[in-house]
Amino acid sequence: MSELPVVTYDKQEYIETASGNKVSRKSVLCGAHNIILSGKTIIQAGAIVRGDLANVRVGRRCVISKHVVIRPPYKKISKGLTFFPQQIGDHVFIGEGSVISAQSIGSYVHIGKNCVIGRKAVLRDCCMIADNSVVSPETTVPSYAIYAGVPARYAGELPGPCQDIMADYTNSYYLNFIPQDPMTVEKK
Amino acid sequence: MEIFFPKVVNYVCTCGARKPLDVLFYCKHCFKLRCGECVSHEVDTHYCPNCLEFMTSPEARVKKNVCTTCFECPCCGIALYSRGTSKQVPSEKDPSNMVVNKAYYLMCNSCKWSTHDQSLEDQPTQSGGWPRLEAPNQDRVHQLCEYYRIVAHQEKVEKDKKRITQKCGYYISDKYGVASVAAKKYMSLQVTPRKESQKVAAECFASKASEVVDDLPSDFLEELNIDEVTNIRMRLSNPDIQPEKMSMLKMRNLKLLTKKSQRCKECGHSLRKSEYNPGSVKFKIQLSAYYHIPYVRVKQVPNLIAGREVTIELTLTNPTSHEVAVELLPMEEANTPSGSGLLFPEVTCSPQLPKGTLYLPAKDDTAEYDDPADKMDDRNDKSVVTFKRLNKLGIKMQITPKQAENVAIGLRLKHTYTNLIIQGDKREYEVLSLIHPVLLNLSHFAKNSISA
Amino acid sequence: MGDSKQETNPKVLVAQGSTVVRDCVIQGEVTIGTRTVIHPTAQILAEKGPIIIGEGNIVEEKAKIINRREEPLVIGNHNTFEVGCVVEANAIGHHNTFECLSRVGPLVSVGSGCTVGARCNVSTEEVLPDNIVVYGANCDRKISVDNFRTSNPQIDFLSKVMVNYHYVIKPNRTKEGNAIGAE
Repeated sequence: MSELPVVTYDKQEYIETASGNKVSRKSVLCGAHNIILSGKTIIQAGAIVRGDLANVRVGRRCVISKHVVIRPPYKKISKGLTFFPQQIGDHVFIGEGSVISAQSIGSYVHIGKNCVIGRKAVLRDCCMIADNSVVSPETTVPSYAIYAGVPARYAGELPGPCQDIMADYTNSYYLNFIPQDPMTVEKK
Repeated sequence: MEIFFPKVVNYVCTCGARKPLDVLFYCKHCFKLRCGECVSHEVDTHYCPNCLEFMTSPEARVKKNVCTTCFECPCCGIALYSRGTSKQVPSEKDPSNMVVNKAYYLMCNSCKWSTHDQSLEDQPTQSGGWPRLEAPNQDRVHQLCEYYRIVAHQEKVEKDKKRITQKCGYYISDKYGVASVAAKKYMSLQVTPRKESQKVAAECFASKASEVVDDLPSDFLEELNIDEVTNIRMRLSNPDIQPEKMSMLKMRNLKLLTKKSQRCKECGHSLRKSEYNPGSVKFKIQLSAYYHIPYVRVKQVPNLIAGREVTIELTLTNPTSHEVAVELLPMEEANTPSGSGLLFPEVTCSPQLPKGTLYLPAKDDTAEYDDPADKMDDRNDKSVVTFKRLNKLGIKMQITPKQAENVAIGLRLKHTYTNLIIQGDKREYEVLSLIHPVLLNLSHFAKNSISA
Repeated sequence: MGDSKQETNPKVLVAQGSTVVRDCVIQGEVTIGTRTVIHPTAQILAEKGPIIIGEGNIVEEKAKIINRREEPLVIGNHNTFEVGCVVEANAIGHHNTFECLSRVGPLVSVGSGCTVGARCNVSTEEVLPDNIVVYGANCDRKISVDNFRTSNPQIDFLSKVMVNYHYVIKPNRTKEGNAIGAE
């Protein structure tokens, strides 16, 4: 993998919390008190997280790219229907434009661009969903699997040091995500 | 995919294959890189991708490598999930009383194919009772297999008998301890096939050719409804029956996936062994090259123009917990007598490599939580080093490409490797020097040039 | 509950019992029936002609319903427009589901009970018959029978919960379509 380029963002656009989370002001976080970001997570512009439907818990060092929609799945119970809390693990990278309705996503997962993760899907640790694929509802994606296609089927295996590769990737993404004061740019 | 299988930097394995460092193994006992082809793969466990139930190879063979509880959609190939319906039926005891009866059927979440399309009855329980698909000619194939197994056994017995009776014309004394071995071999020739196989084989009959051929199906000449015809993938996923109509699709059990372990072919030591449980991501033994060999990555490549000298920036990362001294050497000449004899025809230009050794500090796992005060190491040549962060060092070098496209650089990475030897109670560190050829393909950067 | 500061487009007719959040984008003449839920960031653009949405529909985030024709677009009852779908049809029947990121082109008339799968395109000039499922990478078609599901339990839940987190447009029509006196 080549080194990640430095991505600068407008300092005014992002809110940085005490635990290092960087959340864009242009993202839509409904029910913000139900959304838990564990630390050093980046939520970019245009992302929508529906905390109003149910609790959403996102792990450390995750990257939620632009225009991603994260909404908890619903489940039919005896008395009707409720939305169940959604859990996303650590070091997860979600590519641009994806729609995530999974019940739970493990740690060290890489989700490509424009993917659709169906309702109540379960993604285990260390798996990968290729770009433009649709994981059908209720699917379980096992560890070290690459799923691709519409509907997503087993397409390959991830290499052994997957955990460390994802950890390095998300760590260096966070390090290279640097605020830039727009005033200094204008002067140049 | 670029993250896990990068194409820019390729290390050259001992066998000559060009692979990214992520997929290579490092044999600690031979001190060499191994790729997927230099290792032997062994299957550890079989597991179902849906319910993650795991089993050993003999068990999987009995179950014919499918999961008994999970089914796959014949239409799109993914797993089927059960859904419940409730119907009001008159109860058996009191016909005037309506009782809610729960029934479950299987449905595909992608194409909405369900067991109703196969005309299967709904099951009363959520998780069971679905009939397993049997191949239509299963009995006949089984008969033929048993018959030919007996024929093969008889031929083998005759061949062995001929060989042994030629030599064994006299009494073998037990002076050399051979008698028991010979006796065992003689006994094995006496083994007859199991009675069940013999019974099955006895019923076997040869196929008869007949002149009578089936008529064309009655709807052959009628107008075709495209929505009802199956496509090639649906037919070939079920080769036993190869249904031509959507109404004839039958669901199958889900196929099992495998967890493999790798072993070095030369020394026989295990290089990677994962846990049996597919739900766990840990490994019992994990000797990936990612954890032992310094990683070379390309950081910045300006516009490549033929004939003009440009500066490119690379980074070196030290994954081990010991300090590593790195030297970048030029590729060896093709005819060096002591060289590995590998040729690198794809290398199009040779860089001006920085001379001298570079020192990379050890990897510190706790450093992620502190902000490090990065002091430049004085031993490193400051004109070559661009930045230093924890165990990563940025270096720059000049290259002069002969042409703007297909620029590929080759260099040899020489680094020290600290090997821990445990002898009884003593722990000794032995420092070795390893050299790996590395190829950098810069043609990916020619289109998306990053200005320096 | 409504916000007194809202500037409702006077041409938007919202029936009682529906939940239309203020954060969605509604342009032009739009009629929304009872028990319909419109999520935030949904877009209903009646650019040239009006859009009439029936009862019991759900329009999720980033879904776009566009009418670029002068004739009204009539959407039936119990349809579900999932996240990110783009629908520009001639007419839409009842009990349809448009899954995530699907696209329906401007020359299509959708029947009843259809399901357009995730990331599928239906853009040829046609009338999509009833009970058709469009699925897969090649947008294959098949007939499915188990389709007449309503989303009533979901609508019940959403009507109760969304009100607590979002500003909702006050209804200005009763369920029968008569204007409510105070606005």
